[in-house]
Amino acid sequence: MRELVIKNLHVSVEDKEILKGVNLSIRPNETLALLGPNGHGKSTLLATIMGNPKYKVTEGSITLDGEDVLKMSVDERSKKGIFLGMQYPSEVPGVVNADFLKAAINARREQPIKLYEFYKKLEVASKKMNISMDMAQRFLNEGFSGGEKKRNEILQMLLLQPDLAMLDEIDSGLDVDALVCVSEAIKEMQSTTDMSFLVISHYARLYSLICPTRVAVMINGKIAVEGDKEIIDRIDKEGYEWIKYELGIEVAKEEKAMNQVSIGTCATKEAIKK
Amino acid sequence: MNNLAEKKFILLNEDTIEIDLDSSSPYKLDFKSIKYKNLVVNLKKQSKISILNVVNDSNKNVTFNLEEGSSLEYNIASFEKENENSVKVNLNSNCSFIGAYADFSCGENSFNFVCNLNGRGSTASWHLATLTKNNDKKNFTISFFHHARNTYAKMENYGVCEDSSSLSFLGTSRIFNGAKESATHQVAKIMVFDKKCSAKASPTLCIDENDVQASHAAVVGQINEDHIFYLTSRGIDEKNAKKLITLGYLTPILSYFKDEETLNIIKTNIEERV
Repeated sequence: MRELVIKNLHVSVEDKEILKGVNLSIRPNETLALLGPNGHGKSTLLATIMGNPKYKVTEGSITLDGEDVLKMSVDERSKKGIFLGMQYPSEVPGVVNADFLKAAINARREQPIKLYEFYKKLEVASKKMNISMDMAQRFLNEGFSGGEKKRNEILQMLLLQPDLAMLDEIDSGLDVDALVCVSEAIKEMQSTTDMSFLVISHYARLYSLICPTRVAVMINGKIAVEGDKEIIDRIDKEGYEWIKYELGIEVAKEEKAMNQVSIGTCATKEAIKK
Repeated sequence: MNNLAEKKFILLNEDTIEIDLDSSSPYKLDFKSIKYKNLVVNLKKQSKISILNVVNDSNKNVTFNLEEGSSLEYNIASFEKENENSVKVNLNSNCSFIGAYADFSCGENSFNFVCNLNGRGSTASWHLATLTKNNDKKNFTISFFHHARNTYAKMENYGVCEDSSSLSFLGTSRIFNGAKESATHQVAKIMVFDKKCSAKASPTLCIDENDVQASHAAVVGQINEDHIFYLTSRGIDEKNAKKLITLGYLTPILSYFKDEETLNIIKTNIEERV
């Protein structure tokens, strides 16, 4: 298994610095719970590790077994074993789920997967995730409920078998049964593979099911606290106020941008030759 | 599938021929086998007709007159050279029309479609998928006119525009006075790949009646970056991700074509041209 090491990571979005020197490592077989108030950079960290072009790394490094992750394209990172289960998976109209999954599997194989083998794998993974096989023929995430999208993310994780799965609020939008289903899939991978997990959630419920081995709390774009799962219980009971009193860190309030308002639009859309 | 050109037509004048259809047969019509410029096809009461129209290098005007309760599935496929065709559909009471145009021709294409919803309870839908490359120049003008109460129309125009080509969708939906409880909807989307291409999607709604539903949407733009990120985050390289998304724009048109031979030609054309 591999070790991901993040050193002094600074990341900006549209010239606003979100991550302000993150130091964190994820070791083989670890399940690291990442907590923190809204808007403090947890999702930014995961998206940056995956290579989302919206996030600009201004300083610092991310390495995977010594290899510079920041120099890799997004698909290379995936092929190196990094997976991001997204908080808001994109709806991609016209792209059939099965075609997408097959392309993703084939991207990491020399010979394309045989159709029978693919459907066999898909059937097994769909059963685990309690997803109907009909979903494979629907357009990618289009018209899926919140829960279906999240289960589809975990289904992809099962099919792609990454080394590091980063799960961004995978429990939001899930009902009780679906949460158990998702956590069972994670637990199975924890026990049968040497995968590591980096899991963001606001709720102790998911963490109680998947038993993190380590906990990190992100405050103001930095890792403020690291420790064991007692931190989760404390945050669940007391929130984040104690960090201010015990560590002297002022927890910045989330800034809510004003809704953009568009007054009057023109229906005609045009792209003109340059 | 019967060849419509082999049926007995009535000569109306030196440019125009006419035929009455009352069976439930599927027909194939190749414009190359018709020497007259104007073609009038009358569907008798309660008839259910499907016509597959192959249009290559042609300049024809076709009018369909549907009598009460009849239905027409009209699929147009174009693969080769320039075209300048127009189609007019006149719907009587409780008629239904489904039109689908798979256009993968090269060069210039000017297509004009008009559907008159003259009879109460008539419904019509129109689906177009087109691709322009190199120096192709294509203009599609699609119009629905609601003259009667309780009529329904849906228009979907999808295009992919590459290189130095130009593509234009002009959609008009008009609900005339008295056509109460009618609904009309338009969607026009063009994916632009190159700064040198020129694309225009212009939906127009003209509503003279109050008790109606009407909507339009027009999008002209490049591939959504979030979609690319989502696909590449699963290991699919950017080139293949773009191909999957582009195919996703164009392949839904396949669902309207039932003839295996034509379906395979369209698939091959899409694969080769994308």
